[in-house]
Amino acid sequence: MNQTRREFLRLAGAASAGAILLPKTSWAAPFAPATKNRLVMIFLDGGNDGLNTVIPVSNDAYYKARPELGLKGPDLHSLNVDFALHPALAAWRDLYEQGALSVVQGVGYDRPDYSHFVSRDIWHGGCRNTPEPVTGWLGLAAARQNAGELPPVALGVSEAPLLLKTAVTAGLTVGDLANFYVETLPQLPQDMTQSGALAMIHQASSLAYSTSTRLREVAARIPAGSNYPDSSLADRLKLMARLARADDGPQVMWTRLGGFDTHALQPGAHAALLKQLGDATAAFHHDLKFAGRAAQTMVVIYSEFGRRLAENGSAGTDHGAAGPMFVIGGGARGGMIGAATSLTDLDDGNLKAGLDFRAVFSEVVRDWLGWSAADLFDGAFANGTASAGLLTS
Amino acid sequence: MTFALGPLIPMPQDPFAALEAYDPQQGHGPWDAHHVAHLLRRAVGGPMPGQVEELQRKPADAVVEKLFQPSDISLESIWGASGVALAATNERPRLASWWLMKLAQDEYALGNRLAVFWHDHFATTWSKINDGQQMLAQHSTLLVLGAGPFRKLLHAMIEDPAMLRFLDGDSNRRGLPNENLARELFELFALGPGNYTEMDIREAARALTGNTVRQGVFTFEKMLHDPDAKTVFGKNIQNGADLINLTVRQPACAEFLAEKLWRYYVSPSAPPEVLQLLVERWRDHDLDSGWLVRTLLASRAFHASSSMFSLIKSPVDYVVGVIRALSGRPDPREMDTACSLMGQQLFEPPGVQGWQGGSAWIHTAAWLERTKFASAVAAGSRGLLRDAPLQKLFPTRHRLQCAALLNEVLAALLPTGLNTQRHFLLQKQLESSPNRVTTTLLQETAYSVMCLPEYHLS
Repeated sequence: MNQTRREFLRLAGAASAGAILLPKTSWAAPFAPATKNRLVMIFLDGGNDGLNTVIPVSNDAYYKARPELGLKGPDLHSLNVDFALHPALAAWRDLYEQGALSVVQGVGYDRPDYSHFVSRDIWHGGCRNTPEPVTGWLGLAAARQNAGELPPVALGVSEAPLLLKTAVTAGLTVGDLANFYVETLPQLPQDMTQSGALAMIHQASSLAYSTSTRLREVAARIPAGSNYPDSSLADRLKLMARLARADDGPQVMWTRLGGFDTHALQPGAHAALLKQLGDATAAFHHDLKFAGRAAQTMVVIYSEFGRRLAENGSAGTDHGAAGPMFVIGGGARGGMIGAATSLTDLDDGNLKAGLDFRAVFSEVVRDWLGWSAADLFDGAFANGTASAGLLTS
Repeated sequence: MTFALGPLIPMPQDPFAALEAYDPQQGHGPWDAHHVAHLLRRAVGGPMPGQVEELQRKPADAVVEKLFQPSDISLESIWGASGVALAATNERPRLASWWLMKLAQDEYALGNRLAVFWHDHFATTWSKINDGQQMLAQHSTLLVLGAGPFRKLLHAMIEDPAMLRFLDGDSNRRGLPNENLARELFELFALGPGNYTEMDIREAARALTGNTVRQGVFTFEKMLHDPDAKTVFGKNIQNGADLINLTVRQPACAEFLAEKLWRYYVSPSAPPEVLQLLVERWRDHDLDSGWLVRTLLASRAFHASSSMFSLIKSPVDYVVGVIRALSGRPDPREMDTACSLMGQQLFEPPGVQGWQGGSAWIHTAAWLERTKFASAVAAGSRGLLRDAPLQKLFPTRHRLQCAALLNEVLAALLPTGLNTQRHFLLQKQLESSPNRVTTTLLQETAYSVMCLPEYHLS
């Protein structure tokens, strides 16, 4: 972050905390680890149907395109005259009213790709024009920071996300923290001078052995929060809250919630996923709020694409393009961010992006984490100065 | 890889030479433990005790042929109940551990490991299907057709009940197409991204209407089939059979599959000219995957030094390799548990894209599980080496001599895979280990060797 911008944010935060929900303390004492801003990322794997998450209730084009799946009626949670949340997202409506939830509308990228895997790699690689990226933007951004800290952690995963990969490491992954240990270390020669796969394996083993004790110690110091619902995402967020509350916990955590590829029989499946997401993230937010850390912890929720405006014939929706992102807590200003997506000016039946995900993440990296966002993304975003208006209007 | 011992065998520059059969008689290189172990790792998951010595005495081409034997381990022999009865119980771990037992105990059945490739390729998850009969049926199809013409396998997959249900093909019908199966057919199963248009997908989805599942079996329902003409890749087609015939003739199909099989069997990347020649010949063989695997495993390219230890072992390769090397007769469920914790739960891939594989297998969570598995094997716990504990395999006379014992353990687990410098450092480390009070030298040696980065390469 450049000095002027930092100064502006600090002053703005101090002067009008109501208008811009900035965590004042983090800027007042930027070097104290206790107030370091934290980032939690939740990836909705499969392509979340944004249109049935934030329903454009005043738009006829939506109901015309979705005679069977279109949502309406009193169960929806109204945000304003034009938009309402899915009935399963009651918990989010409360967050929205408190200014703790931001809906970032119409996020995507140019020339959308409809493959889950290509699109996911674009989001995680940070580059539209690199067909098979081998590193992730978050891994690169973190690698340039203080080496002594815990690197970003992917929790509850059985595969390492590209997002955390660098040329030398796949990043820190933890399936279940209770299993993240070994009783006795093997005797291994430490002269790893080889390159390529061997060096990568050596790196992973060293990182695993050195962080396993530390992560468990960090978590053990912080008691688990209460009032979490019973779901696998909630379990993970409960653990993340402990790590986020610890002064020496990891600064960035990531997890995924799968099942969003709703080509058929969407209504029940999508409702269950959104309920899990809404209830778990709200519990997380309240847990941190109780601990006085909600303002320092930002939750960013995203998916590799939205779904097509028109429903298909299987009570489902096919792969689409732009969709909403969601931000909870932290310094986000709350409310609707970005312009509403047109449902008539379409690209081959798909929504056009009004906001590029690289702008959103540039702002998060630079203005929230306080890291450089230069050279993480490609195209017009390479210099790392783009903003989405998440933290400031 | 420079750490492997043995003479340097260059990758032939000429594509014809790269694909010709590796023949020690012609001076291509030796037929020694190094090469035999390499072949066994890639074909069947690794050598069993005595297997390398035995095969070294046979001609190289005869050994490749030998690997095409069918499995002789039935579901009944593992679980004492018929396959149908077991499938009816709907327990994923039983079918998965039967598969792992075949991998661990069939001496030569290459089809077991090839089936892992196809399962990863046509990834279908038990949790969505939740029907043991259908998952077993799909597994059998992959085993039976996996070493034959790709066209037949691909055709079988678009009529496979588990696949149809997995990718919503069963709800794809006239007037209300569902693109899911059509999209993955092109992107993941046959052509790879960029080799089709969105319109091709929409038209292909219409061609597949009518394929559905009734009472658990495949049915073509004419009433649900869209009778209008469809245009895919600029050609008019009518139904699924047309679509498959057209798709496998797309230039991208043979290239996509041959390259992926190369990455599974030979090395992380194929030299473009070699791949091109391979693809041309494969087309002459009706895209017969058995022919392709046989050709690859027999080739000089396969035996080049740059191919050796160039791949990262999957969890299944690692677990199976350890059990094979140590003659284990494990509790079958323990292998499944171990592989699952390391990130490869058979019949439950992370999604239709299968496992990322390669370097993505190695991350901290997975690594600690690999370490814990090694520790349990060395300690003889979790029933992993039932009937054949380490002590039986390694001679008593070496039990207290670090250098000799390390040589024995390396010969069994990592034949010729550790360079002299690293070997020396490992030995020093073991000699000065403070753990003699809590663990035996044999246990610690085996544990450490299984945790060497080198051991996780194939």
